[in-house]
Amino acid sequence: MNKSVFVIAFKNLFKEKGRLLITVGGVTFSVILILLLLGLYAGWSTQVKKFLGGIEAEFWVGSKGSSDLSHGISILPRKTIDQLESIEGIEKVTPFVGRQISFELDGQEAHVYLIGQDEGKIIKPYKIVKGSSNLSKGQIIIDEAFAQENNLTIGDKLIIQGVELKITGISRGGNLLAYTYAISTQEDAREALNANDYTNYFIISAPSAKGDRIAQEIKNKSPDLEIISKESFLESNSAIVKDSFLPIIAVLLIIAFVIGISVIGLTIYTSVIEKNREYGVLKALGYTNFQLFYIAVTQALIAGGLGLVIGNILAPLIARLASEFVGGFIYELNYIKIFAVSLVVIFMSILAALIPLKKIFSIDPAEVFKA
Amino acid sequence: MNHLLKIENLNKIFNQGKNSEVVAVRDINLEINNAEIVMIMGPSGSGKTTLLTMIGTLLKPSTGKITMNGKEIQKLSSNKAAKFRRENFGFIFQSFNLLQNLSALENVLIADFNKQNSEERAKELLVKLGLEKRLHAVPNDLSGGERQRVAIARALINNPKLILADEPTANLDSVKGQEVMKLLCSISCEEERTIIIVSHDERIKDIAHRVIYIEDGKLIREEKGQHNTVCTMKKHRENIK
Repeated sequence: MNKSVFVIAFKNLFKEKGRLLITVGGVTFSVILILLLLGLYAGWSTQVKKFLGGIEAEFWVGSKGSSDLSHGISILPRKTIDQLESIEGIEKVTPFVGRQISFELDGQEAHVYLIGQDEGKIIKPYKIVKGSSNLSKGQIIIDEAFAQENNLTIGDKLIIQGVELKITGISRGGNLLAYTYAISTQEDAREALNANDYTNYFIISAPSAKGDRIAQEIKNKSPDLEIISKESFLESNSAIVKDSFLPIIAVLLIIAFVIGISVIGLTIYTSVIEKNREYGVLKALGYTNFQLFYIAVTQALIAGGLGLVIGNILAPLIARLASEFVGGFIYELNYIKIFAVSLVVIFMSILAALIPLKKIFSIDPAEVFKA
Repeated sequence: MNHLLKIENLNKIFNQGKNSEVVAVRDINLEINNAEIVMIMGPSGSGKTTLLTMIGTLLKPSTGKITMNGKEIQKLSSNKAAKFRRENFGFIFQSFNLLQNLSALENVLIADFNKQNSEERAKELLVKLGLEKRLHAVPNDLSGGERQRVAIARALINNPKLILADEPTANLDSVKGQEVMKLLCSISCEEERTIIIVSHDERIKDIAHRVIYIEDGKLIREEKGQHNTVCTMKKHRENIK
């Protein structure tokens, strides 16, 4: 390819500084939007698994049809524990009591997913960022997002369904968008949730090697129970993010993509219109339509590349800043996703360069003979 | 005598068959020799630029044939015509048509498709045309005469067999116009290049070997030019006699 093609593209782009700024700004905006959306999605997908992933279990046992903590409620009689403990090979059965609950906080309705901690502390916060992880009666550990949102700190008190709980710990990794996890003693949780007679799930600890046999035995003995492996329980719980937010994120990604294409495309198109005569001169000199298209593609790729670099620098900074103000702003992005975004921007730039294609093809080189 | 270009029964009709039909070129027959300077003269709207555009493969004739070095060029596809242009033609336009964002040197280089020692050759041409101090100046910083000299360098960079110049002095004052014509004359003499110049400026016709007059698209008369009296190169004079 003629080196001049690159020189023309480069000079056309950089000599028009105002237009370059608008183009690169537009692409940067689009890249930031794409990165933040992907980062948020990745952040949420990881986040949703953090708390439950930290609970060591071979299986989760719930009532028939249950699969996760959000869709439907699993209610099992407390005595089911005896049935389960009688199965050979099971090391431990831990009752899991927890569900979403509303309560009044400063005159407003607040929601948490209140979970009762077992005595063996299999159920524990993902990471304590403030206070203590030890719980006694009348104490609660809340998530930092809930604390930030409601301006709560250690020592503050919550009254959940008549049960007074003092905040003794603030944890991370328990924010699930729609609600956050809060952990109290099982006794307090049962009282607040009015769950003295039932348990929501049983967490089964057992050696992995015996997993299949144990699962089969539970099925045989108690066909009304749902046995869910730890992995599929995590997957089902993270589906809330995929189901609820993936379609929204997909739409926003498409919008960001279209913004990127439009900004680059319109700039290149305007440049072609403005440089119509110069393109005609190039055609007259012997440049083919393909070479002229290459000029447009090069311009689009330079603008896209600059936007990509600046976007990659700014997106994590914006995410960090945003997370200071919005507790639920969880941004996580790996190199594979950044590479994928780079490919998307390249694709976006090439697609944008197609916008003025018809115009380039229709330029009549004979017109340059007109004064 | 070697014919470089042969034009046979060439016609160009715009908006053919419509009420707005215009016959721009009618039955032109012309032969142009190697190293010859031919000037095409005529009033505005006489069809001289249309003829030049067709020779330059930028416009397809309605009927007729244009043969260059034995190759019929009027039927070339868009891409083949582009390739043919970059290998065989150098263009000089009335309004210079330099790329505004590029320097003089870059403007010359854009027409070089051979890419062998191109920068040295472009500099050499610009120096030869008196622009050694203006290599990196952009068109807006150049005078009209300087711009046209850059355009001439651009027309020469690909070693074309034929230079097509459309009103090369129209946007220049008479002194600058004469300078440009002298340049073209010396280029033709020294490098033995064929030049077709379209103009209605009678003052510059001296450099031509032949002057062809067109009116209403028709070739109405042809006269011998004064080139042999102004050309200082004996060899060139002898070649065209």
